[in-house]
Amino acid sequence: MTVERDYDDLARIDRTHVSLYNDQGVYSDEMERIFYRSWIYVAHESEIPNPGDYKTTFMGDVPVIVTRSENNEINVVINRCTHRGVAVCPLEKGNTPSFVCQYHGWEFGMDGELLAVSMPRGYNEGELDFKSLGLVSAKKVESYRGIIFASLLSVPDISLDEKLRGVKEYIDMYMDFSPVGEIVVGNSGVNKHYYNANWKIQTEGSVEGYHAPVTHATAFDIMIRKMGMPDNYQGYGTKGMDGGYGNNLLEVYSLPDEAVYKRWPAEYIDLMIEKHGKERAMHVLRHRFNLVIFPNLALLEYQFRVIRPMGVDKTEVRMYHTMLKDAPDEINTRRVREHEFFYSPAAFGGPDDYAMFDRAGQGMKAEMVPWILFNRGIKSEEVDEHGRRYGGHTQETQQRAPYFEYRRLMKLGSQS
Amino acid sequence: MSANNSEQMTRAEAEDFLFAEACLLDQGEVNEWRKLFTADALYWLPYSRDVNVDPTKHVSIIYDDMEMLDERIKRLQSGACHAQIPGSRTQHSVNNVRVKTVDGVVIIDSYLTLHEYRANRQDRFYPLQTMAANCEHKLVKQDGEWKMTSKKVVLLNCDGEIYDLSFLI
Repeated sequence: MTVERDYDDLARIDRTHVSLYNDQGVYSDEMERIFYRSWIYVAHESEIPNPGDYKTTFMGDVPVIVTRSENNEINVVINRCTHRGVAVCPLEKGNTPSFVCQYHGWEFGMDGELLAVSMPRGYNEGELDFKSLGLVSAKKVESYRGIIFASLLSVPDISLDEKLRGVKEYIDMYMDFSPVGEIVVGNSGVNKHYYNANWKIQTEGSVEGYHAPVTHATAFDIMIRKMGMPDNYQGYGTKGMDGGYGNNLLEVYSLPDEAVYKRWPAEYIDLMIEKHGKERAMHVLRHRFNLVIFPNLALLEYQFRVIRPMGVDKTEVRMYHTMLKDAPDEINTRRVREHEFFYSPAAFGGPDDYAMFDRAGQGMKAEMVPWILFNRGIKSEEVDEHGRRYGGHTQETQQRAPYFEYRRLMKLGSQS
Repeated sequence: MSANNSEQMTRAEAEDFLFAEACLLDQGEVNEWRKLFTADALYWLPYSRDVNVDPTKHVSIIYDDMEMLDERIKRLQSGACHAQIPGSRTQHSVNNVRVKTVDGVVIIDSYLTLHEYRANRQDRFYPLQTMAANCEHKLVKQDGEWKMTSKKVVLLNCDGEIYDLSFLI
């Protein structure tokens, strides 16, 4: 018999209980209540640009296929033949007119519809119902600025528009670093990491301002000396923000105009001004931020980071490098170099983060020391004109933010 | 840099060079290893098995000019590269060596089998890692010594899930 956990007590405003990172029962609740019943990131439209394109990914533990049909409709279907449970698509991505299960030859359309089976005459009248035997589709699929979200088993209680309301200005900014407002995700490389600890550590860690001067002292030193990176710990650093519904933000810096001209070449700034207008262009270019779309996506300067739980104590992290459509080659090459400098498995930043996450996995085995603390700056938070709570960028407002939505979804799920 | 077009290298000489290079890496003689590169050399681990991959349009695992390699070495020796606490032991095994000379540059293609281990970790049981790669060394002779103008290491799993490569390869 299962006892309902008290998620208000386990995920408090200023601390989380270590069982949230260790307990298989909590993990199962998270799958059921968050990963199968709320908005989950699955792909960016630029990954499947043409009819017939597909990409496989995961929603929680469930393998899914994201497809583009002949009519340009985007579908998310569970990668599981309805006959005997075999994954119908064995590849990471590709282009196909249909998916044919290689076990017994059942063929499914890009929208999951069952089109044909092999040796159909072996089925008697009433034994094979084509209508009910399509691949199972996600209940809801929607996108914003090309970012595709889906909800697997039920229609979420909030619209995607509402879910993203508090952070749309940052998503828009991310895209508008391109002079034409479009990005290409993953064509320029995908880093595939994993670590031996719970997925939420990466969600929290993707907006970490506090750790940076400690864990990344050696990397920041080089970025400031060699890469024209402003020293955000000496004046440019801005804020950590709760963007609502678990989404949250680390604004790394917001530069004055003269620093924008140091950060970016004039050719790029001029092109941005020509395409976006001066005010918009400068607004975009002065910012650098890490934005978490709870629970499994983070937009960082040059990457879409996708967090995939693989059980309570193992996590895969994929970093899909992003390129700016119609930006000067020099700018996209700089995005390549700066990204690999910090994030590759041999880089100057990322490996140190994953060392910390692995060590968190070790330390958190000590359940008799129960609390993970997120109370830094809780007494000095302010609220902006949109009602969003924010604090200094090295405070922990952004780490507290996901747990408001976590509590809401975990409690909501217990009622259904 | 003047490369003598008549310079050739036998397979035995190429093997001697690669064995010596491997030995420096495995014994932690990093500063000596660094001296094997020319000033304008490239140290490159691509993220792709595609021989035509364009490193200006595709992320690499490592794409170091010598300035960046010096930063990498300095960081590894600083004690503040946390992923390297404790540090890796490595064993580079070199085989399938082939040599050719193109426009005065000696090109050595080889296979690398790399074992990596980290002892004395608090969590214990660090698995002995095995990696496989294709290497391409480009050499020229400077002041009577063979120097690398380029070292390219293409891991068999370069585009796969990788735990950590915070050591020198």
